[in-house]
Amino acid sequence: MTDSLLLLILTIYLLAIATPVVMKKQAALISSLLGAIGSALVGVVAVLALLGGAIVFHVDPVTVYGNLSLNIDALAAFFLLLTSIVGIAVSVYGMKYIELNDNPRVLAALGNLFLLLLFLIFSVDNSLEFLFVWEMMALTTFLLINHNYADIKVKRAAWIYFVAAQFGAVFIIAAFTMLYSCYHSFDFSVYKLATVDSRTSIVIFLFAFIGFSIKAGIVPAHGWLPAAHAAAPGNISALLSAVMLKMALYGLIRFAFQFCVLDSYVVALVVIAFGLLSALYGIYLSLHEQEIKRVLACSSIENMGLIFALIGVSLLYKILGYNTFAVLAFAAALLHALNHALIKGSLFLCASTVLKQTHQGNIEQLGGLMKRLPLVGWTFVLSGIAICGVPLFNCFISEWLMFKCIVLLTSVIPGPVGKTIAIISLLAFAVVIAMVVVSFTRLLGVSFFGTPRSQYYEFPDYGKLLVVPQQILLGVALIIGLLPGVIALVFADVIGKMQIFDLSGCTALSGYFRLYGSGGNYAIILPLIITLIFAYIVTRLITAVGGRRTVSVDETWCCGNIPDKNMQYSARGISQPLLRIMSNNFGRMFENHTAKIIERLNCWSGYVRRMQSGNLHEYVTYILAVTVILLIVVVFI
Amino acid sequence: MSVLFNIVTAIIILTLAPLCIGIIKKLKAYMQNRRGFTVLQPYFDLWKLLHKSEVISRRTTALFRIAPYIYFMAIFTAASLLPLLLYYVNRIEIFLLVGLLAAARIALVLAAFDAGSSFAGIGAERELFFSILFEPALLVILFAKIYTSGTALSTIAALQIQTPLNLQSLLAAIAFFMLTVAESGRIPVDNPDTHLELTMVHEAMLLEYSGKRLALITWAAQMKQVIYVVIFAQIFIPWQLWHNMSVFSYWGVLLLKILFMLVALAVTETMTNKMRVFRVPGFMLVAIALAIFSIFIQ
Repeated sequence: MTDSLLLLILTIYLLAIATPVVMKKQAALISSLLGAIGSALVGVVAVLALLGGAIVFHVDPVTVYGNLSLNIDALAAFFLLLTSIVGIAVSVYGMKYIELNDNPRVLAALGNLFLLLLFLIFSVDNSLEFLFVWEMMALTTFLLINHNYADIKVKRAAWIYFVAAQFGAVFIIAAFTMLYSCYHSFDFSVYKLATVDSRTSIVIFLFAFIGFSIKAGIVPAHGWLPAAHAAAPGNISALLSAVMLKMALYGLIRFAFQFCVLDSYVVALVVIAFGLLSALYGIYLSLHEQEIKRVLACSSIENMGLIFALIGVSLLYKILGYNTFAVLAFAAALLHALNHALIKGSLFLCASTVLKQTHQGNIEQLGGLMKRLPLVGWTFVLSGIAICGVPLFNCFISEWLMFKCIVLLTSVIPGPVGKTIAIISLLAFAVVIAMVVVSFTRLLGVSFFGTPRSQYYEFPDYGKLLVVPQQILLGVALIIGLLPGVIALVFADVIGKMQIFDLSGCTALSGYFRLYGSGGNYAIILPLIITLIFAYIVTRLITAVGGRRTVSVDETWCCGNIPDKNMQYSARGISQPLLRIMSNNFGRMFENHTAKIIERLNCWSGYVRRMQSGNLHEYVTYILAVTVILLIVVVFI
Repeated sequence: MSVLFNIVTAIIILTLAPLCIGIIKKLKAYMQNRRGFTVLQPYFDLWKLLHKSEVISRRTTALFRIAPYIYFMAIFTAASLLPLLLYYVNRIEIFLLVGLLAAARIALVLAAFDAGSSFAGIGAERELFFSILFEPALLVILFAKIYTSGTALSTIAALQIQTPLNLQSLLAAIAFFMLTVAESGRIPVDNPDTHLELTMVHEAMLLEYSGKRLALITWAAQMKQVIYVVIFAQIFIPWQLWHNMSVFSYWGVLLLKILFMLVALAVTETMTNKMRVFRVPGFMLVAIALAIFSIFIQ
């Protein structure tokens, strides 16, 4: 049954890609609908794999799809589930959104190709196929980011992205090549036996880490990320941030826990250090930005940094032999990845609705959007609050688990070394979560509240389709936030099925999910809710004192002047003192730096490009020259 | 049932918070050779505010109206987590407290942006500016206490009963005292009595509020100060005089500790000058450094 289901998914996606190519009318709508159905089926497959164990699928070379072997194990299924939820929302969003863009048919076809490749990358179990899909994805996303190619900024962002992606791919290819030379096989199932010696493992892992870090936008390789997310069409930037960055996480997990045998905890410390550095630097960059999508993209750098740091912590615990803590950190990483996918997906979709409605992406020009776009406004504000790590929301749980993991470090590594690691991590983590609050209240406060800072020309009614998908994502996120106990049980089960950790002798994960010491597994957050309800009753009682009083509406107080839109605090004004104490010189050094390196690479590759003249005679000459050189080499050496 | 104890804790703090503020004000008045108001004046102020009618800016959205409720509820819930009734040891995660205080901050800051006034904006901006130092400071200073005992508030407090006074706990206590001064908006960092817009931080955010909503915010802000005072008394003044105390002496010692803290706050406020805004980071970094020292000494 699962075989036919997988075939059905592939067929639906291929149909979704083909529809806009063939059809002219309503192509985007039908194609997006097919994409949504495909994504939903991916979700079904993922749930089946999580419940019933790995799904293996193999097609012989004779069939239309070519040689394809899929193996959806628990780890892949988790990421497929994430892809599915975001994919459904983005596809539904696309039903209306795509036709508002130029070349809607191209966007629809490529968007669905992107979804198909995302499905494949998590389910292939062969390094050649993995690399093929990986490269296809780089190409597809390049075309998607370059969608509005008339804009010179978009073009530049797309090229920088492409060069960065290729640069990262080089390292990943190198890592897989080394794996091949160790195992003489392309199969992931052989790699999972993990029989490499530890010294080779470290080299392989470092190559993979560099490659996947570039894809995840880890500092100092984050230069491509904000520009690419800002340049891509709205639905695509949601997919890029919510799912494509997680692809790098998936690869890292495969390498760190399954393909390599790591036994030196310095490697884990390197991962933690880079993770925390990019968390800090990403959120710091977001305070510099004035464009909504760039702020969100910088926050993605920060979140990927936190997730990578958690993977590092988990690796550290695993290497030191503390499997319970390793599972805890791993669960926190996966949970934060899921939370980030849901919330960032919602935020990017909201931002793209705002862009479509106002044609204004600069927060300095926005303001008072809450009154004009109440539905999008509330979704955006709630998502923003969720990502700040406020209790009752989902990100709070993963951040709290991260806090626990950091505190536990001191009990694992005794003495000043452990204390130093723990204090540095804790400081970085605390500054990051405080700065997230600053960054997002600044974004929300300036663009959604106050009075409009510029004249909006139009607020066309695009219907509910540009609001509902992100509300679904937010809804799922809220459910996660309210049910941490269930999440703990589910995650314990899922991680058990991943067979990454030795679970014998581990204490139950749900024991660590207790906010209040007592209470059952399901009712973790219940005391908090009861207290909040009681607090609400208290506020009602307090305000009842003195009876009902009139509430009159008047002008904002402004020392007797008439308030003006320019009197409001600007986004730049809010972040200025922060940037001042953190030294402005530090500024965008990194980003300019990476952009320069990438442009230099581009320039150098121009020289190589001259070889490719397109002239057939020249290529024949090349072949001749290579043959001659090879003959000489063979004969004389 | 444990929730009941939490709620009782919160109600105790709710009822006593204005009194604590009144005591600080009275002490300050004595030190400045004034007679000052009665200690109960904060209650009268709240009573007065609850009987006033309100004016709300026409530029605001629904968030402006609900923000005081969220602020109050978050801080009330944060107060409910405190290890005040030590007889009932409830292992509550410390991070929940930090999260709730952050939630309260977010609600107030967003409401400040809502009216579109520059004063509220400047207050919000400074609040955010300070928060990125205060929150790490809170976590690191608490870390000085929790890394030996786990992350549950009451366990930490229970362990402190046996802790002797040593350099380690003294440094952590000084660091937390600095944080309390800063977080409760007292003079070296903020001035609670000023009505000059450019020097205010917390008060500036409330400029648009009046009547009942202002009463809610003021009361909650007073609770927030008392939360810090109670944490200081229960966790950072480490020694209880007797190990197995009766209920009566437990509360006696606790009240003495809190009173000591109030006196200390009043003295600091009288003896120091207000700092420039850009001096505050240095002040907070000293607190963080002290906490780090205290972790390494042990």
